[in-house]
Amino acid sequence: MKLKNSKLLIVLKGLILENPVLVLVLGTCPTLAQTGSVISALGMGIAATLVLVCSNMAISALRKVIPDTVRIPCYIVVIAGFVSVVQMLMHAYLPDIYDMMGVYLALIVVNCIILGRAEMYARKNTVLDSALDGLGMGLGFLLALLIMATIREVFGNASFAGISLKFFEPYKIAILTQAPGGFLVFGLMIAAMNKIMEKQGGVKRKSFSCEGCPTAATCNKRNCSEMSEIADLSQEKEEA
Amino acid sequence: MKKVKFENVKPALVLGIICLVVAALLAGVNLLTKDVIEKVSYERKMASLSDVLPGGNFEEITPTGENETVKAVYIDTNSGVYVMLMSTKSKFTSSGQSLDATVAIGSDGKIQNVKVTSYAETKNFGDYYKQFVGMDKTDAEGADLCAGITFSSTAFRSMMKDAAAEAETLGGAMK
Repeated sequence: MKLKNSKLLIVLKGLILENPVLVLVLGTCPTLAQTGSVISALGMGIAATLVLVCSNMAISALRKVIPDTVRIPCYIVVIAGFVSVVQMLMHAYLPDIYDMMGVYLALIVVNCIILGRAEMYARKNTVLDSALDGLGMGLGFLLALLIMATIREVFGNASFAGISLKFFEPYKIAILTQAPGGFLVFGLMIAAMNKIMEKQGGVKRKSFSCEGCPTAATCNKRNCSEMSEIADLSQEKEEA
Repeated sequence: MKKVKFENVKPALVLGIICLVVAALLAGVNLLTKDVIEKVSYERKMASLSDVLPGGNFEEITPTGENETVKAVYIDTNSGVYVMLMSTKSKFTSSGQSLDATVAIGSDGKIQNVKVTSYAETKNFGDYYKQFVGMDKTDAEGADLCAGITFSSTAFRSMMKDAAAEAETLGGAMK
């Protein structure tokens, strides 16, 4: 039971507690670019999840074989391979979504969620755990994209997944479908996430591991919890 | 002569092997999807002919070869209207994918209908292409560009000019 719970926790961690978009603020470029419509957000989310799970599994399986000095080029080759596979499959079987995603499908290769999880998690954990981490992070990414795309499409374009919503037609805010609207919704969603998590006890920097941090590899001096404790201490000092 | 240590060669060897395995995987997937992709592309092209000229009875004819963006030319045997499959792949396309369109154009060289069939850039084309309906070669040359998609709209305008020129040449040849 405990084992099952720990596996479930790995998935749930990516979904909410360490959501890659709203908490770790990774993968911002596709988030802003692909949330103009629900369909393209869905396509991007599914494609990124597939690549994330497969690349995490492959990298975890190869973790003892890949020398440290060439690990990043190896990860890039593996990730690029899976992205190309997904691209070809989408071109063949989902041509409309393939066209809609355009250049952003190929850009999954440089999505920092994928490279970040490979570097921070998959290279240190088992294949199963890495697959679950990839699934959780992918679903978290998909969830954030879908919520953001729904807000932008419904209120910005008075439609949902291409279906016109006549009730919203007179009230639509066109800027939401443009780039500034994307930034606005993104910021509000992060604020809302922080507020919700605050009520639940809060997500402080020390409450999630260094594995989620994109700069953890270069941050050799102290880990996040030490830094957070130092920040808390200095705040207390100032207050005193 | 110095002996090469295995530890020094290992990184290159591992990276090389991973590259080979990934290349083999891609070759396999390409083999599986190649025909499907070709079939889907062909079906979409044929559907785009009917989209720009509904109810047409299309017969393929040979392009003049003077305009490089004209990839295929069909003629509607009922009305004599040309339908052209256009494609451009230049410095304007950062993704490496082409900008494709299907154009219905009369033998007088006037554009009757246009449809963008492939555009993989980051900005949406919107309704920009619709302004070309009713234009001939001279009008297309002077057509407005679109802010935000300047390079793409330049490429598109040049494509429309080619289509009009092709129709004029083909129309003249038919007479």
